[in-house]
Amino acid sequence: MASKRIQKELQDLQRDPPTSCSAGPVGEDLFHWQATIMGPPDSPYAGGVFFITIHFPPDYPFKPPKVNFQTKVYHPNINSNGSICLDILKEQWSPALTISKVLLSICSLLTDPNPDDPLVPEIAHIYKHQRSRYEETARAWTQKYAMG
Amino acid sequence: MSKRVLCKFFAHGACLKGEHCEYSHDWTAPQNNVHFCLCRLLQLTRINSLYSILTHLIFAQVCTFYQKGTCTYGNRCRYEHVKASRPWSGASSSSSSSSRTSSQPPISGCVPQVLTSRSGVHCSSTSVEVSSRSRPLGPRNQPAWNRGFEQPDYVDGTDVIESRTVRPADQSICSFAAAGDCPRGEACPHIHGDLCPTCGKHCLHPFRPEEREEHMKTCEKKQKQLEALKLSQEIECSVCLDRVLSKPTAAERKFGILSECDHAFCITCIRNWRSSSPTTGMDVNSSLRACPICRKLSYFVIPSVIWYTSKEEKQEIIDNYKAKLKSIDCKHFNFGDGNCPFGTSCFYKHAYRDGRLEEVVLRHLGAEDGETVIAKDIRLSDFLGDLRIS
Repeated sequence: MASKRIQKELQDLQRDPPTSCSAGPVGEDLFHWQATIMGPPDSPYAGGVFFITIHFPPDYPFKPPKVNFQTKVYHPNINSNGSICLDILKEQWSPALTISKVLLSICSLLTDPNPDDPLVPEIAHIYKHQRSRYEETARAWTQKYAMG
Repeated sequence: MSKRVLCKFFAHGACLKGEHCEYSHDWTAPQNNVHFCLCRLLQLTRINSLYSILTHLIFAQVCTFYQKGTCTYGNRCRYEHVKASRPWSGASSSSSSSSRTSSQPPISGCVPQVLTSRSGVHCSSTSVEVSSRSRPLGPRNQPAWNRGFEQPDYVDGTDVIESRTVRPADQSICSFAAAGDCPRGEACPHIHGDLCPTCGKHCLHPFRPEEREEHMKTCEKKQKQLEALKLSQEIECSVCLDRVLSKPTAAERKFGILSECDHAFCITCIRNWRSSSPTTGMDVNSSLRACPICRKLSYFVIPSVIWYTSKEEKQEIIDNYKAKLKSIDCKHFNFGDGNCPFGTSCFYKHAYRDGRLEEVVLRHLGAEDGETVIAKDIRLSDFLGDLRIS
């Protein structure tokens, strides 16, 4: 069931790739993928290319995939390990969600951080009270880690 | 008298009496033709349609093998070796027209041409033999009823008697036409049914209104189901992303319909999701029991082999499913010995061994916060269990 569904998702991604994202298996292992996200143009992450690893559980799609950033990101909902705090990857997961939908959600999370449910409270605090400082740092991190 | 009846042992090729047999051993004798065997068969099986099929095949008297090119019997064949453009119409119209008086003009246009082809080959066979051979099957060999109505002034002696004795409603319609196509066309001696607008076959009996209505009803229902099935073929499950009806096993080729929304899933996929263990922080009602797409809460899933297009169709599927479950005894209730956790909400049958249905009187209690709650079964043993005897 899991491998069949993953195969199907891969076919759909190749046939109709979403804008600003790409994804595919790393090696022979179908349950281990790598994805890239282009920083959304209307955000401080613009111009950056962010790498993401995806691990599918054996009972996928009944359990959510484990999605982590490989590239360092300055974001209230993404910590230094690359963990993402996103409800659809945890308690709001649904088997009708696909990797392409998850990547799209991550894109929108980059544009609109959720400081009320932060993973890194310090960044959330700065985002809330010193927006320009947050943007500056985020842009600097993007320049440093996600470009070239 | 008995010499006129074909010996049934001879008919099977195994009469030991040979020439001394008191029954006839003559295949070609008019009264001993296959009709006798067919009548016996008909008596035994009482299958009318079989009779009509066999008469179509045998009384046509044209060798079907010769028509196809090869007949192993060659000139010993009992059937005629004629090459006709319309193999069936030739024999039927010639035998029926020759049974009438020769002064009657043939009705269908193709008859004269076929007649000549037949007489050319069969020069030795007398018209008497042909007519008497067709005699036993008089009622079946007469012209089609609808043709008789078109030409009321055409009256043959035998036809009048036959039409009086057999009511049109008692006549069965041509099974070939009912199945789609009658090779005899206009020349067919049987009634051709009216065209059914739904299935496009001539299967509506012109003189049996109840049968017509019934056929129309079932036919329309079938057509609807077929269309629904066609639509259902395309529908994909949002969990496995496969087409539900192209799954490998029959058990998987079923939709799981959610009661509160119209999103399609395989029955196995949606059941797997609903029965999967909730991850930490997951609320069962808002995630597992909700539709994976719209997150609307549904308390039950209905299996169905077909997808619906309207609310009424969905309700019908749900009602049928519930009615089916209501006829099955609940294994939790276990004829009154067990305890069903679903109580009055259970879809299964709660009946005692004597067939008496469970009667439930719900005890409504006022809760502390002012709301009404339904009391669960309270047993004396529950109190006694807590009791400590010192």
